[in-house]
Amino acid sequence: MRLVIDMQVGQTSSQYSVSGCRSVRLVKEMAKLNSFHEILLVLNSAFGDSIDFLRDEFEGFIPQSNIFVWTGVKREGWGDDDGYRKVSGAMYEAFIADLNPDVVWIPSLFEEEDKGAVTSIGAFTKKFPTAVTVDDFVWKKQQSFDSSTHSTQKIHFLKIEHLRRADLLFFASNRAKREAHLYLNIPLESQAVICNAAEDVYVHKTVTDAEYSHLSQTYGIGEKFVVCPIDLNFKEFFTNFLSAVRRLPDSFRKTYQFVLAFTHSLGEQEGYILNCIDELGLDRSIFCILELPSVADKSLLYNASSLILYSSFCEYAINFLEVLSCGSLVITESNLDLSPVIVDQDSTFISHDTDSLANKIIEVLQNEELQSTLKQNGINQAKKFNLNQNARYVLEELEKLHVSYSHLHSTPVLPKKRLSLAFVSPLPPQKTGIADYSAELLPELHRHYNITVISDQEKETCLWSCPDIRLRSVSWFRRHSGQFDRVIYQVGNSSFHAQMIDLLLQIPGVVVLHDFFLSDLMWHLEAHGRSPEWTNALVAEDGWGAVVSRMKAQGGTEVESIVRKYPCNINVLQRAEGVIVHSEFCRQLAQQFYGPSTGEDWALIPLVRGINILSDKNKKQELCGVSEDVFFVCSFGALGKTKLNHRLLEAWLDSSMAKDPRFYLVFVGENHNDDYGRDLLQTIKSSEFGDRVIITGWADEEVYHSWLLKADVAVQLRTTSRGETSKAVLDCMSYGVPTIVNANGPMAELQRDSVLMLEDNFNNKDLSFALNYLVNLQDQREKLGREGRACIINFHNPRYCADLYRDAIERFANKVENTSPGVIDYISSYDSGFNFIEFSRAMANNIRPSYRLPRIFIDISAQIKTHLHSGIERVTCSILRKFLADRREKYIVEPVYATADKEGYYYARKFTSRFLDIPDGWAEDAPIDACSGDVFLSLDFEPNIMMNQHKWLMSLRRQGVLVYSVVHDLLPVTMPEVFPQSGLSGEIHQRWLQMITKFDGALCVSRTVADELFDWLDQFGEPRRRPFALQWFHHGADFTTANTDGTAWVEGRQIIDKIKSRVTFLMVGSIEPRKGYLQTLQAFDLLWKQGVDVNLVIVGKEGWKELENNNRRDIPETVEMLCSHPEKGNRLIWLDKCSDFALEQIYGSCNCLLSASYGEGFGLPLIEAAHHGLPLLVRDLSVFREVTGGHATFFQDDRSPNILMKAVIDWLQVYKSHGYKEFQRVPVQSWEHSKNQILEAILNRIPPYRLWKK
Amino acid sequence: MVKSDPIEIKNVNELFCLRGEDFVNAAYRVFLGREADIHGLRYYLGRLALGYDMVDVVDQLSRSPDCKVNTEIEGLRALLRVHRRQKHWLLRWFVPAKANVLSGVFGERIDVNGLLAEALAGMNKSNVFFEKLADKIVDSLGALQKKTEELVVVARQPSSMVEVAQVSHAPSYVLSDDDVVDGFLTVLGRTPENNEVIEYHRKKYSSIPELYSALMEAEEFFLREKSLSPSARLMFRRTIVNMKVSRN
Repeated sequence: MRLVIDMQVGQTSSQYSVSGCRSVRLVKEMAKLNSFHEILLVLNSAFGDSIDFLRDEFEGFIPQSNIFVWTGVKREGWGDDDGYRKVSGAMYEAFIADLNPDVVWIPSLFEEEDKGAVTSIGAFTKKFPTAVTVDDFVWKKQQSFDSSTHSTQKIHFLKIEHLRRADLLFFASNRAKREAHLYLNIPLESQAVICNAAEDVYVHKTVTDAEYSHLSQTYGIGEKFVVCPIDLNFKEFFTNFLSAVRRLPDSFRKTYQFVLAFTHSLGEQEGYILNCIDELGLDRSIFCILELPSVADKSLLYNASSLILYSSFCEYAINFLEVLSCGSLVITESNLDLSPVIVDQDSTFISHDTDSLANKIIEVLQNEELQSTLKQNGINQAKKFNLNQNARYVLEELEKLHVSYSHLHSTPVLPKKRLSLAFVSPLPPQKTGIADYSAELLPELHRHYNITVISDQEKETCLWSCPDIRLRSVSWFRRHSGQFDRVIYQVGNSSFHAQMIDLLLQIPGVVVLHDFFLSDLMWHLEAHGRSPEWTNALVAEDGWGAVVSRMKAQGGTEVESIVRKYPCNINVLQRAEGVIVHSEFCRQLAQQFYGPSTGEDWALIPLVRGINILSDKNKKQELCGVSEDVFFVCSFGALGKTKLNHRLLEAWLDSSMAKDPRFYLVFVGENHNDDYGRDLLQTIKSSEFGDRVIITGWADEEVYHSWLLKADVAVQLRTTSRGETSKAVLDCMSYGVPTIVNANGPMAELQRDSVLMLEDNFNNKDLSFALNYLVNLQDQREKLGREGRACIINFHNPRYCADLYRDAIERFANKVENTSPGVIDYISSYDSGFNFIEFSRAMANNIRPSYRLPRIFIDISAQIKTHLHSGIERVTCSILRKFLADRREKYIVEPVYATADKEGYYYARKFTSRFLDIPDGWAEDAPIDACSGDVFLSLDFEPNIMMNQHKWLMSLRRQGVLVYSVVHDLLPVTMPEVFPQSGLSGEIHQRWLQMITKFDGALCVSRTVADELFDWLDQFGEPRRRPFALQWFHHGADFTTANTDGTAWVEGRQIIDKIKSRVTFLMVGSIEPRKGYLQTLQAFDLLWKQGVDVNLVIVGKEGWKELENNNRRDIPETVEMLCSHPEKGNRLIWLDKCSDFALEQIYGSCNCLLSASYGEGFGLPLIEAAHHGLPLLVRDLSVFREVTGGHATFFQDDRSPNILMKAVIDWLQVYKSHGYKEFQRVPVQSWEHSKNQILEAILNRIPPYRLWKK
Repeated sequence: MVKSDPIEIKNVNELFCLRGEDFVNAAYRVFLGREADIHGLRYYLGRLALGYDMVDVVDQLSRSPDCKVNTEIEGLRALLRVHRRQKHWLLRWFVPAKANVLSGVFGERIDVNGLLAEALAGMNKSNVFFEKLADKIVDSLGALQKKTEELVVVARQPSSMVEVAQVSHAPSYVLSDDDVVDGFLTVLGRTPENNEVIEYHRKKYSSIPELYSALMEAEEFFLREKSLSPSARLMFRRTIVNMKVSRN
């Protein structure tokens, strides 16, 4: 059973109420029990925060992918309440219907409408049975309405309307059940009673002194007290109670306190309560007014109480079983039916009777023996009901409902009325197979529908055989589509169908997909300047790889290969209300392109083929004037590579038939003047039997027909089918011609005994054998011909197919009417005061898209905003390039971005086009469509924009999209002393970390950063129940460097010469305090003074130029030293502008890379240098040990120049005595590998490196 | 990467020997006297990728405002003359086939059937066009005759009756003010600016679908659509179209 549960009860303010908590616990218990039932939860996006809460809550009970979030419309979008209720109710029901439930359970029907809660039963659809839980309180409420509560009264009765349409009602007591029968005539058998078990905290225990003093301090309650729960909606009971208190003896009033408990919004009501007390002349001090305490205190209160009054007016605030579980003394109204939890008659008082109440209080409080019996009975009784029992019971009842409902609604009901159908298709004499197909189908389909054909052509010429069918133009249809109950499109891969693509966008309908590939049509649309349909289809269906190959294609054959490779049918499929195909093969193709469950609901209807009545072989001679002796082997259809005509020719020429003058081989169809056609002709010409091989050329109807009559055997071969069903084969069968085929594409689905079927990859021997077999055995020929004809008669006849059509059309229509697409029709009768933009957005969110592979959205906002040449940018570009070059696998990569001024993320189509160096004229940066199962990866670092989008990203995550961020480092937080003095970088970084750690995971650029982030989380992380995944990956070293700026490096020669003249240490990175330049300069200053003859080359810009000098830490000093050092330009070389090309050259000529950085996230220059084979002398940081794999020379992490100086001298010694061989090569990886590391992490293919939760 | 010096194009065939980027650059040098900029390069490579002929590119460049007419290139003028004729909606039917111009240069297969089909489609289109035009003329003639008859009747009335008669013959419009306001709200999400706008639309369109269709052509509508993701856009369009036809 597929059970859908609406969990709004856990989202609204009732989240904290008894029923909210109870429902959450109950569902969890059901999930625990559930062995073969599938439980799906539906949440309302209007209560955003609670989604996180509930997703956390159900973690481990219900898979996250079974939690669905729906979006309604806002009240403000509507003119009036009624319209709003209808539309949001329909959207709610439709969303649930989309989930295809067997049973739906709504644990709480009365939810706060004003805050966006929506519940609705059977107002839009009756596709599934609905069970609903109703508080017993509902009838009391109904009695309490007076003229002042008009609006709440209306809402109440609207909900009661829904209640009437429910299929099963759950109540908490038999009394409520009977009342439902009484008030609403709801039969008792569609109701059930769940006695809500007490929570575990409600247990009987001895109250300690400490606890008594806690009660006294917190609530002002003494050791002896009587609890009376009150609800001021029912003032009568409250005043009765006060009167009873007045009748109690003085001693009682002195001994006991009277606790007026659990009132809501006490502030407003306190005055009234005190007033009543005063009016009766009672002492205020013996009363204590209590708001809703915590669960633990409530349990304590029950245990500590001397007596509790339980009336029908307090069911909302108190769960009876909880009171009993605590072993409290309870007295109840005598007419209160609490079965099946039975109560002693000794403990009841008569309702509305003050004396009875007062007497009962006195009696119970005085009789200790009675007290202990009552308490023990209560505890025993409560034990019978527990959560597990509740959960089992609910599931059982729901399953019963499912069984009885499916029993009732198992057979689909076909409409009795003759509906109107718009049939969009070309008709003869248009030269397309689909026109002929439609002409054959229409007379039979007209039996079921009142058909109007939509086509821009003349009526007289095409519909002569069914004069009753109307023909209308496309423009007429655009205006009058509302007249039709059903619409069907016959779609094929040719320009005849060009108009349909746009029509489908506006007027939904069922699509008959004659060709799985629609790429020629899409190409046609794009080439003729309409809109970039083709490119858009490629990007949506296959991602950027396909777009690049399409844009870079040169010339006809390359373009054609793209057209052949990608089906480009996504726009048609996504716009279709249902899909009809002619072969199972099409479905398999769809699964290959769009994932395993695609096409499950498609209808498979064989290609219509009328039977030829004239096909009597004996008439061959007289009809065609051919001698009986002549034997024709024919192949029908235009010639071409994919028809394997050459194979047939070869087999025939090799066989004995070729030598026999009675035998002819006939190709009925046009031979193209291409390489293939020419080769074929050449082979025929050069053969000695070539004169008996005939190619008829383009065959019109008459010629085609006559050859079908003449043929003795037909051979129809295919290769690389793209899903189209061969009409020629069916023609042959229909004429009773014995036919040989190979099992390629849809032909493989032909009935085995109706044709002679070779393997898909047959060899020439097989074919020759099959030919000889049929040529020699006349009875086998006749049998095969008969079987073929029988197959056409049985499975392809128009009448049979038309019936299948009707079934399919009605099935699709039924689905559409009862699910989200049907809402559009449903609302068309409403006024236009509605915000359709918001409605469309919500609908797009609610409808889970089909024919869509999961997306990986890569956030590259920083790239869009600026073009810094920073390390992070280079990393982003390298990884992005790898992602985009990726062959489409089980996901599609889409770069996206956000801007500071607009909410939401956009496709970065223009940027990506430029990035990939292809035209961007086609591209539009539209808002993104994301859905559950997608992944969002923030690849670069743009904290401000990302923090602006925080809310949006949160809602994305609530929908079920996994959000990951790449963390390059934590340095502004961990090492503030090397960042600008009064800058905000530390604070911003901290806030950014706080934000991203609320999402699903981080991809750190090294294991060290991952560990640092883990420590940071321990210190600053906010509590979370679902763990935060920490993963790491390493950068690649293979940057693609091209001399892009084109300028030659003028002074290069000179510098390289200088570098090569001595041992040279290289430092790469902008001049910032963190990089340890000052320390290095000082160290080298010492070295030079000591006469050590080495070069120091520094490649990097001066950093933080936009800041004031006093904010720049040691930069001014460093730059001063760089500029004024006596060795400047000699042994000290500073290149502040350096192209990638130049850097490459420098890497190639230095002797050692020196990195004195105090801290790095990764240390890109290290592996770049390693990539060039340079030895490394680096500070002993754990991150450097990690990225170099320990294969570097490390110097102590100390900021004094002496340490570094010594390290250089040591290094030089090793170098001078052993040369390079002493230094081990550092292993480096490629960007391809980096990309794969990221991919495996975000697709959860490898377990996370570390998990954090608190 | 070092670029080889471009060869100077003397004959148009030399131009067509080049491929891809080289071709576009050479064509730029011929017509605009400079290298192609990155945008231009991308644009024309995109056209080629779409299956446009090289001649199309040449033609387009030669129409550029900065084009220096280059007569020194052998065969260029003749080529462009024939090519433009082929592209002309009417003249194209008098040009034998593309093949004559280009087959020598490209050696490509000529799809005669395709061309024939295209020609037929074109003919059909113009037929339909002329038929529609004829229908319109007949309609207008009819209307004119009717008006004349009315005028004759009116002229025979006493002068005091003329005014009344004119009022009663004032065209009655199908749409109401509410319909127009409704249409604006549904399609554009706002009310019309003022009464004149309402009046204008009320008189201009004879049915609700017509009004809706016109409003859906407005730039404002496209901008509204643009704020939506592709799937929301589909919903939006369907909703509006559904409103349009259901109110008809």
